[in-house]
Amino acid sequence: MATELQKLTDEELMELILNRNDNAFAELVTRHVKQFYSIAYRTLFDKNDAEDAVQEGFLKLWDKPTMWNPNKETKFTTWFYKIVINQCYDNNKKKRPLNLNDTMEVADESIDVETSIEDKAKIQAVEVYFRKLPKSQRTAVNLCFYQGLSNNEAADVMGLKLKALQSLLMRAKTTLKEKLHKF
Amino acid sequence: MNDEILDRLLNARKFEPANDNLAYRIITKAKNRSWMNDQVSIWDLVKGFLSPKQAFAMAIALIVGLYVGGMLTQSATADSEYQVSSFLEINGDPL
Repeated sequence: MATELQKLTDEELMELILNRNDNAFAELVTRHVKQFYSIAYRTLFDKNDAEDAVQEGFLKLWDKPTMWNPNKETKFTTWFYKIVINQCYDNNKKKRPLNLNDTMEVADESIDVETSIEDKAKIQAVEVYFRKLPKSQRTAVNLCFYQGLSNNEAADVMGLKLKALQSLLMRAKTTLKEKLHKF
Repeated sequence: MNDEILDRLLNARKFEPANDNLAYRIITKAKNRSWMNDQVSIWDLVKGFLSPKQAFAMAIALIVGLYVGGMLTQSATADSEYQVSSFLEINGDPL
């Protein structure tokens, strides 16, 4: 059963979930949990909050699978990015504002071990300034760089026109370049 | 800093490591919710057949029934114990 489910596309699994198939739900969660945790973490910068947001997103999907419209020609992942990102924004509203000291602490556990010390310093500097960007610019950078979505897909997730997304990316990169000029 | 270097730096951090238990936790919670929803649907089914007054009357009848049933069983047990002890008194223990 599990191997049969592994062969199905996300959209086919969603069809089964609409019929309350919990094995299909388990397969979908296992397949994508890391990917969605990653965007949640990069939106909230807190492991527990990110886990909560992803969990609430998936449980919403399980409780109300009819949110997914199979007739719309949208990929599951593109659609679910919207759910998770909105969940992150909602959860963040309820929380205290981010403490600036929190944002200055940048863990380097996900940087490749073979990256040079100089590069590590640069990546950490990018991270520090990235966290200070406006929310919409951060989301655009997250989707296009960290999640590897195409500009069209990212625009779709954010509900923007392609030009608007490109403008956000451009502004984010200009700000980062200005801040990092000493490198 | 040029675009190429910035792109490389932005691409250098792809994924944050997720907790291995996260998927398991989500799946378990969803399954538990299904179980709870099933309980709710049984209650909805009962509510569909009975008005709140009828459901209350049924619950009282059930409690009284269980009480009376318990009393009768207790009395029947006492009777049979009395009959056995009387038989043994009159006829002696056959063993």
